[in-house]
Amino acid sequence: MRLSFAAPLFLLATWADTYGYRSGVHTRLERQAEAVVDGGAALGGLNHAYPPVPTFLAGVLPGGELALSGVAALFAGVLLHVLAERLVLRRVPLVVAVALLASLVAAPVAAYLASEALPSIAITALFALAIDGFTRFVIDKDTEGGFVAGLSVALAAGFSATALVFAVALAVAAPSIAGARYRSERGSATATLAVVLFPIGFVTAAWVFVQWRFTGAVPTPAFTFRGGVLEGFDAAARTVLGAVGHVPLYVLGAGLAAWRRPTSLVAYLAPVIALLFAAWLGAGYSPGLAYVLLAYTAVITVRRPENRVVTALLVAAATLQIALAWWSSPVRVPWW
Amino acid sequence: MQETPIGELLVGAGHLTPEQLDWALTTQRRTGSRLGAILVAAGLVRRQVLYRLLADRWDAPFVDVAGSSLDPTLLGRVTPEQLADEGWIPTRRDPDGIPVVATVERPTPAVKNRIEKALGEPVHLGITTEWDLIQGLHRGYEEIIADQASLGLWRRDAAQSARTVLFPAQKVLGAAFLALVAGAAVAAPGATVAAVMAGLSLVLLAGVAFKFAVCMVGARHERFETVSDEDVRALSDENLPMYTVLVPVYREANVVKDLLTNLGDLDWPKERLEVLLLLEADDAETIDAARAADPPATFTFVVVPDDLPKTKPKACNVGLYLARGDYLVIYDAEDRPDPDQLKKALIAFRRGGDDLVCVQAALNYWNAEENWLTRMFTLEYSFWFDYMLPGLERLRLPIPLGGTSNHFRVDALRELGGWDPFNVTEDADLGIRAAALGKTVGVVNSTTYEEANRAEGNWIRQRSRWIKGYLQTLLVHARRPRALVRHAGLRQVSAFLLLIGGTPATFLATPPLYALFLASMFLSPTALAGLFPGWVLWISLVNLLLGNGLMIYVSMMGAFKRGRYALVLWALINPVYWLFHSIASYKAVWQLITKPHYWEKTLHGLSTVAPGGAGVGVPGLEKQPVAG
Repeated sequence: MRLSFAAPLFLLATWADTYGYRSGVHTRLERQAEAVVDGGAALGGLNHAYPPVPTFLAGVLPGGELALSGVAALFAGVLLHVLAERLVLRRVPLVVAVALLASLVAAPVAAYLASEALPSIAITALFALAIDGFTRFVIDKDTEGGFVAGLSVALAAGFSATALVFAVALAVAAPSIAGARYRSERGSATATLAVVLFPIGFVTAAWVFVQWRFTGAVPTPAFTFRGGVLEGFDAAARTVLGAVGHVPLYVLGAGLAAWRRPTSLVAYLAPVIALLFAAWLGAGYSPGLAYVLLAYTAVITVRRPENRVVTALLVAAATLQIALAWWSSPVRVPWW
Repeated sequence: MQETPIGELLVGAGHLTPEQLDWALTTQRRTGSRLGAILVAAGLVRRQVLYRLLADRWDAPFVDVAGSSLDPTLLGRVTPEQLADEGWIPTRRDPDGIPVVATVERPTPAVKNRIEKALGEPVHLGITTEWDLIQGLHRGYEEIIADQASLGLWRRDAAQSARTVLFPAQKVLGAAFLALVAGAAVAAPGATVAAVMAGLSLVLLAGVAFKFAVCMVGARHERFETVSDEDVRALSDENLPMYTVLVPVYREANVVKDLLTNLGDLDWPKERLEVLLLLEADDAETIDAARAADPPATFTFVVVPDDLPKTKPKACNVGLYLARGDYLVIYDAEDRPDPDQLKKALIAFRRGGDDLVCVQAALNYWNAEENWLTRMFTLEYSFWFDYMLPGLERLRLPIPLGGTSNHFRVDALRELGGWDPFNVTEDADLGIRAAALGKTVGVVNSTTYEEANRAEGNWIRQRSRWIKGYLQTLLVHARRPRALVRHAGLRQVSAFLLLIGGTPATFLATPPLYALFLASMFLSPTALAGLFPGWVLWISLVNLLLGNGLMIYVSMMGAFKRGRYALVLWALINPVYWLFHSIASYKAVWQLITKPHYWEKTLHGLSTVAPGGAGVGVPGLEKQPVAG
């Protein structure tokens, strides 16, 4: 089933490949993998290995860039399947479910990232899972949700440094969501933060140690405030708000979350906070990433509409989003 | 002519007040139990008084079995199992040469006929109490019971017992493997060290990854309750089965008294509860303390003969021999089970089908916050019992039972052969044996609170015994690998190897990997390159880091699930705790070679915290440590 979700995206990548298109992201990962191998058996080339997971895949998978496109399609396929499963389990009407899923697959930028930008689609998938798990963990004390949130963010750190910013956004959101409970249960706020932050903290520290051990150099995050600190923040805020404007489903989802359970809005807004900091710090922000992250977050947090008005609003927002993606996208897809 | 009801007889004889009788009759309507059993269990009437009255009414003499000698030739004609099952015992011959048989049932012609058929000659029937019957059986068949408790499993199938540590084929294979490693070390020392290190790191990662994956499955179903409170409320007290509680105690004089309180809270009709206190013959202090505690009539003392092997499973086998319950559970003397645990276990059994032979309740600690070791122990138990075992159950994989709070179907347990007295983690072994024979073990959402070990040396002794037991279990069940795979299936066997073999292996692998980690901190990879190629070093370090990271995380989550938030950050020192495991594991290996069946005593009663609260160091609560 999951493969069937991934198949169209892989076919798209294959089609682009036969027309001579090479994904810039995947080509760069291939070069990095070659540089790691060139570093020799003592692994001195590890300083070229970040982000380690896609670089490792580029090094071991036969088939070059196309193989990475296959993995990207697989990630997207799994995520779409999980989303479809959730929509069915939440008894979302078929017409809404189809519109929501269409908003993810019928948008050129989403299809592009899902087939030609492994790190972006991977962290999108992982962030979406993390938000879902995080909400269950913080609000319902569902520890499986905590596992999913912590591990997803940690794994995302293997694909992009943006995960660090995202983890901080989740940590900031936690006390706002369950503040009342934290006040009544001594130590639960610290415990919640530990559960969310430990995996990514550990993975990052472990990677820093391994890289230092094999290369002698301590990797430092290449965070830069483009155009100055305050100006940079202003520009980042405008950029992210512009991206939010192109994802009407996300905006509608925020409204519905505020209406149903205001405290959950903080978790829902975590991706915006993360994108804002990523854009401000120059930590892996891209308009394509912003689009897919917000679009997938909107779908994974959708619940069964209470009435026909909400149903109609969801279908309308999904349709509008697809239209915007085709005619007013902030991202220029290479073959478009 | 209609008989006068026994209750009225007791009131008439002044042994009971009319109010007490009313209460007993109300209880009888609710539970369907015998009136006499209710009165005795409630302590309203002494057992002997009741049975003497019954003897008068049934026109038969009362036989004081506990106080009279037993004729071995008569006992030799029948088996203790038959006598326990049918509720009678031959005692002696009358002067006319006819055997006197004591029964706990009404001596009807049918009963008499059945007994005469079993003994092969006419008998005189007398009446005795159930307590006397058990004492008589234990005394009359002491040698047989002791022998059966020690060697029964081994006689039935030597390959299922840890009495022989290594079978010849295992010795040959082990020697061949060691020779191969030694030969390789001589021929190519560098490559051998590198290969061993890579192998150790893979073992560590495989063991940890398996546990983590199982815990994730357990976490996914954490909201699922095997038995809900509504289920318990819906369970009628009427016609509940007899439940036997085995409590092995050894040198635990100071906790025997607590036992009465802890078990007294169990929500189960007292007349359907049989508590067998398993005492050791050479432990006069605990025997005296138990007598002084003046336990209720539901308690029966069973003194286990003083011979080798002197282990808890042997005592439990004696208890199993005498148990009259349909179900059985083991508790330690200091255990505090949730009051509804027996009912939850019964519901789990009724839902679980005939193959379900055992359900394990969760264990946790009441003195978690006492010191760093009790905190770490609590973290470990929280993830093990709240994630790991439910995960194994969900995946239908073998479950190694925990030390106490395992509930059994008595007939199935007897069929399995009881506990292996030569295995020092007899509980884990029994869980695996059940799986190997196609039976299942489940878990039930009820907790028993215990005392966590607070002293490092004591902890290492206890843990070394557990790890030695895991190694014994591994060796026992790996004796017939093909048969094991055929019976249990490849999936079950793989899980068994990863769990029972993987656990000691990960602890044994930890020190060399920690040493490599430390070396890599101070020496550059080029300096280590002569011994470890870059990829070996990389794999070893990454596996070590990943393994420790996963175990820290799963420990954090276990504490979170239990609502013990203050313990969550303590999970960060899990790597130090693992070092203690490693020390214990090397001691375990050494003992497996030198003293394979030696039972390392664990001291109980070290805690300075009162079971009900957190009063560390509260004067008056301090207790003397005892061994058990």
